[in-house]
Order: sequence, then C-alpha cells, then structure tokens
Amino acid sequence: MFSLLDSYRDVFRAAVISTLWLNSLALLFGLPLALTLFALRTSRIATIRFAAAAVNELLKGLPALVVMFWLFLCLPLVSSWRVSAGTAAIIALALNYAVGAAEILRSAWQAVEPDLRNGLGLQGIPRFAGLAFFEAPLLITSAAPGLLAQLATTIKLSAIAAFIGYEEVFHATQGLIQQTYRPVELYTALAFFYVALVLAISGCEAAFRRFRAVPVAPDR
Amino acid sequence: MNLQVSSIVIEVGGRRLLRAGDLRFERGVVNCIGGRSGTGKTSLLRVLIGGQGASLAEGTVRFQGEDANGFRPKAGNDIVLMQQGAPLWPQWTALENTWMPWAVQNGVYGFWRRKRTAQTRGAKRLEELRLSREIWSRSPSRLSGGERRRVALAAALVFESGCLLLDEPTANLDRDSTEVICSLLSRAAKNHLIIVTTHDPDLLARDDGWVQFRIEASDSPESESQLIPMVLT
Repeated sequence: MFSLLDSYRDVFRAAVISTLWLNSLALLFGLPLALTLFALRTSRIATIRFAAAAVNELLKGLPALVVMFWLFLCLPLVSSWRVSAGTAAIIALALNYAVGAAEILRSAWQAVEPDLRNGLGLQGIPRFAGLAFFEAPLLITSAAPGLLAQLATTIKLSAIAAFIGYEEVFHATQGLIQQTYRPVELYTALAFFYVALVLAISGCEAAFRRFRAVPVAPDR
Repeated sequence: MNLQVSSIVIEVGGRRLLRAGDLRFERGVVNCIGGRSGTGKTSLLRVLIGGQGASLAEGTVRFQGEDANGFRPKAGNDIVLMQQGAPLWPQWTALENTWMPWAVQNGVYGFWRRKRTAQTRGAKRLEELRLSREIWSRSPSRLSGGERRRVALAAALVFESGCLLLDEPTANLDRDSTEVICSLLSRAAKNHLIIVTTHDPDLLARDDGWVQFRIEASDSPESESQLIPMVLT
C-alpha cells in the first residue's frame, strides 16, 4: 500500500529536511526571544514588566497564520521589504513559540518557593552563583517538559507554511496527491511522520527526566 | 563565640513585634527560644542574621562583641540560618541539597575548589543524622517531612559556621528523630553558638546543656511580645 512512498523517497526526504530546518530555526530564534520576554516580565521595574506584558498579550492574540500571511503578502505592499516564504514562516513560528514558552518559564519561576530564593541570601551565596547553580537549573528542570510540549505544538503548526508555498512536508504531500490521486496513503504517511516527530520529543523529555534523577554522590 | 542583644525592639512591616532587654547567647550550650506562633521567633532570627522581612527598630545586636546592626551575611561569614519549613531545591537530590549551598558560597570558581570537600561533608552530616544511603539520592519530593528537616539541618551543619540559627528544627519529627537531632545539637554546641526556636514541649523542657528563653505574648495587639530568659525548675 505504501510502496508509493518509496517511489517518491527523494521528494519526501527533501521535504522532511526542510520541515526540520524550519522548526529548528523557529526554536533557535524563539527560545532567546522567550527568555527575553520572561526576563522582562519578571523585572523588578514595574514599567518594564507592564510593557513586556503588553507585548506578550499582543503577540498572544495574533494567530501565527495571520502573522505569516501579513509578513509574506502585506509587508511588500506597505514597504520596500520583501520577505521569503521561509523567513515569514520562521518569524511567525518563532513568535508563536516564544509567547507560549515565556508563559511556561514564568509559571515555573513563580512556582519556586520564596524561602528558597531568600535562603540563598541568608547563606551568603553570591547572586550570580545562586542564579547559575540553583535558580537556573530549577527553572530549566521545571520548564523543560512544558517547553518541549510547546515545541511539539509548533512542529504541528509548521504545516501552515505550506499555504505560502514553503516546501515543507505538508506542501510536498499535497503536491504528490495532486499528481497521484492517492490521498489515503499520503495523508496517513504524513500523520505518521508528525506522530513520530512528537514521540521523539516526548522521548527527549523522558530522557531528560531520567538524566536529572542521577545523584551526584561523593567520590570514594 | 557569643551573640548579645541590648534593649532591642524588632519591627515587622512597621509593627513593633518583639522587645528584649540585655541577653547573651553563648557557645557551649543550646540556646532554646520558645513562644507561641506570631510572637516573633522567626523575626528575631532574621534580625540576628540580618535578613529580609524584619528590622531592628531600637537597640543593638553584638556578634563577637562587634556591633552587628546592618550586618549582612557574606561568603565566609560564620553565621547560618536553617529556615522554618526546611525548603529544599527540588532539582537536586537530598545529598546535593546538603553540600551544594556551602560549595557555592564562594562563587562559581570557589565551587570547583570546594566540591569534593563539600560532598564529603554532606555525606558525613547525613550519616550523623541517621539518614540511610538509600535516601541520599532521593529528590526532596520523595522525602517525608522529618527527612526533609534532617536534610536541611545537615545542609546548615555543612557550613561548619561558628553560629547556627535553627528555626523549628524538630517540627513534624517523631520522638526518635527529635532525640537524634537534640543530641547532635548538644554535641555541636561545644564548637558552635546555637540558637533554636521551637514549639516542641520536649525541647522546651530540656535542661541538660540547654538554656531556655521564652517569648511572652503581650495582652494587647498594640504592644510587643517580650523575650526573657527562663530558669527551669
């Protein structure tokens, strides 16, 4: 039934690489943006917190599809800037990932017992060392599952890039369906691809949890 | 090693909470402060260590004879506080929670120099507090209340500070575990100045090398509680 896939192996391989590349770049730009938004939203200065919250809410309200279409179709009309399909998709997905990830980081941060942070000062632990050895690892450990789940959502969302002609896996599948008229095999294969990718991310999450459970015992 | 307070008034959020006359806490005995909830036991410890949440409105605190007003603990200072509730870092194991704070006290570079000594000290303290090796690798979420408290106490002891302030170290512990901690504190008092706050009647009744203080609540909410020395009869 799936022998068709073998015939178009090269097309699929290129599309899969393109999809992975698109999502990797979205993560590469989205994560630093999320960290910046998180840092600004937890700032001690109220004005910065308020401004960051406003930006966050604005971005949260914008559908990734609308951002992508606007960048690809409208931006060249209102300015001299031309944005390729790939760039528009990366920006839209990165923004989408960043908004969700910033909220996950903020929730993880707020879940830290205030006594733990106060304790660092009471034990005379320098600010940077406290951040590097205690606060940041806790933030990473508690936020990692949520960040990986957000990445899985972004990967599934990346299919929208097909609507502006970006050659990712959904776009390639649709092209092949038009040529072969065999949607059952091709859409089923596409579903398997996304499920496999998301399962791989879940595997990373489980491995991360196992890794963290290893104790640091004294050398004997 | 001694810590002395003279005519102090402790303020929390603008409210005068606790006053004390001239009192001296000495090394060699366990200084045990009892009192009802809300009378200012934790605030007193926070003022002694110079932490947040409480301030000295009047009087002086002298640490080793030096004025400790405005005193702030810094890396290398010999005073450490075990907080009430025994908060532990959930990403680290019980053992890591004991040695990491001391290892990091001298900053990032100090960590690599101290790491091995800190690990050995942490393991030794956990053994002294009779926590089995099986518990060492557990995360704090899998520890009982009593085990958490003993791990937090081990972390405070790893500092080997001249002065240990312990906020309710035996809360939620069974009698055997309380006894383990009490005898450890009695032994540690030979080398450290130890101040303990507690509700525990067993601790408040001890007189074998323990000096008792009480915080007496005032009758009216406008006036402050009073810290006084207590002679057990």
